[in-house]
Amino acid sequence: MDGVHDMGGMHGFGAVDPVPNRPLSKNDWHARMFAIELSYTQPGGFNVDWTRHAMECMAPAAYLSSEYFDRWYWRDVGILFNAGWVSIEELKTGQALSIPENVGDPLRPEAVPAILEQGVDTSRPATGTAAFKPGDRVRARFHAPLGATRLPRYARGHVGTVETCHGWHVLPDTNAHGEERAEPLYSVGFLAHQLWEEVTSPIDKIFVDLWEGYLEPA
Amino acid sequence: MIKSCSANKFDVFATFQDLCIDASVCCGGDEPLKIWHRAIQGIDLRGKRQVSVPRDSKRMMALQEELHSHLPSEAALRVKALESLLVEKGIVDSATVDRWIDAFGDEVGPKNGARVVARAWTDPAFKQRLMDNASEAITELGCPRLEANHLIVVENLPQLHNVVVCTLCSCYPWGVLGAPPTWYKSFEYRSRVVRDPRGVLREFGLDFGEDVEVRVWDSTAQIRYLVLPERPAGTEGFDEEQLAALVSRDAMVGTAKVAPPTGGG
Repeated sequence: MDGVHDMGGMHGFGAVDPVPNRPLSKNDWHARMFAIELSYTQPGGFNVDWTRHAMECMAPAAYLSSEYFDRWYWRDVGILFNAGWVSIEELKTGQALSIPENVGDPLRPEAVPAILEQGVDTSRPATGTAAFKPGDRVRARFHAPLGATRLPRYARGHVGTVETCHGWHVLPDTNAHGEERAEPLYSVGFLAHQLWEEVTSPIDKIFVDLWEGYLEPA
Repeated sequence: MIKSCSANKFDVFATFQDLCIDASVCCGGDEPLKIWHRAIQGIDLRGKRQVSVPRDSKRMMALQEELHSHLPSEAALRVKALESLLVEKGIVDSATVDRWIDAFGDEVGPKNGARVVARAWTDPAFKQRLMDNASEAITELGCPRLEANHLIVVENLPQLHNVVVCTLCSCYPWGVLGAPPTWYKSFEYRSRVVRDPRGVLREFGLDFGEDVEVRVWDSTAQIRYLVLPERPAGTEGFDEEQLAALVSRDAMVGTAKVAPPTGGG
C-alpha cells in the first residue's frame, strides 16, 4: 500500500531524538496497550501481516499525529471491530453489550513464557526452485497494491544484488488478506548512491528483504 | 492437546499455532519441540479462536475512519476502556497483560543481546555458530526466540559499520534486545536512516570516514538483525560478564560503538 507508513527516504523529518526509554509500568497505558495486543492476538487466527496492514489503513493524518502505542490501539480496535467482536458504543464506554461467540479462552499468563521462548516461524518448506541466487542482479518491480506488501517504495525500480536467500517464507501480500502462501525471500543489497542521487559514498549499501515476486532479473 | 510429535509437524502444531501471532510455527527439528513441551506443560490451551472475516483494505480504511470519528481523543482513556471491554468479553485476561509487561520489564531486554555479544567476543566457536545460525546460537544462551526466530548477526569491522532499521513499521529482535527504544520507532529515524545513514549516525555521535562502508539493514520481512559491535581496546583479560556490561543496546542496533572501559576497568 502506498501509505504514509512507507517512510524510507521521506523528506521533512528532523533530527532523531535519542530520548531514553521510560521503563515499562503496569499503570502506564503505553505498556498496557503493548501487552493487550500480545494477549489477544496470540491465541487467535489473526496474523502479524494483517495486524501490520490494519495500521497502514489508518488515514495518513491520523497515523502521523498518533503516538506509537496509540497506533497500536487503532489497529487493534480496527481488527476487533472488523471481526465483529467489539462495537463503537462498547469501545466508548468499556462496557460489553454482547459477548462474542467462538473467541475461546483468553491467553493465560502461564503461556507467556512458552510464546516468548518459541517465537513464530514464518519459514516454510520449499515447493519449487528459487529463481535467484547470491550474486544475481535483480530489479525491484513497481509492485504497489492497495493491500499489504513489504516492498518499500524507495526500492521500486532499482537494481540490486542478491546477498542471501533466506529460504521460503510466508508472503505478507497474501497472508494479510487470509491466504497463506510462501515464496523465496532474499536479502537484496542496493548501492546507496544508486537509490539516492545526493549520496556521495560509492560503497555504502542498503539491504532490503524482498520476496521473489517483488523481483525480476536485471 | 498435543496429539503426536511424529506426524506432520504442521498438524502437530495445529493447536499451538493458536498461541502464536500467526498460524506459523517453528518446525525446525526436535529441540524447539522440547522447549515447547517444557514451557507449555500443564497449561490448558482449550479454545481456539476462529477468525474468518474479510481482511479487505478498503473496508479497514473505512472502519478506521469510522472509529476515529466516534471515539474520544484521549489515548489513556481509550486503552483503559478497551482492556475492560476485552476482559469482560473473555478475550483478554488482565493477568496476562501484567505478565507480558513483567516479561519485557525484567526478563527480555538488551542484557540478552549483550551476553550474546560478549560470548562471541570470547568464544570463537560460539561466534562461528552465531554467524552461521544466530537463532540456534542464542538459544544456547537461553535467549527467547520471539521476534528472533530468523536472526542474522552482522559484524562490525574497522572498515564496515552496520545499522538496522524497519522503515515500514518497527520490526526489532525482541528476543535479544527487548522492546525497541522510542527513537527506533520514530518517523525521523525510519525516514532518514536509509537515505542519510551517515548524517543520522552523526546525530548519535558516530562519524565515519569515506573509507568505512556503511550498511543499512531494513527489516522488511521476519528476518531480524543484530549488530555484533567491535570489541573495544583495553578489555584484554575481561571475562564475559565484564564485557557484557560494556555492551549497550544502541551498539547492537548500530547507532553506537562499544566504548572502552573507563577508570580502573
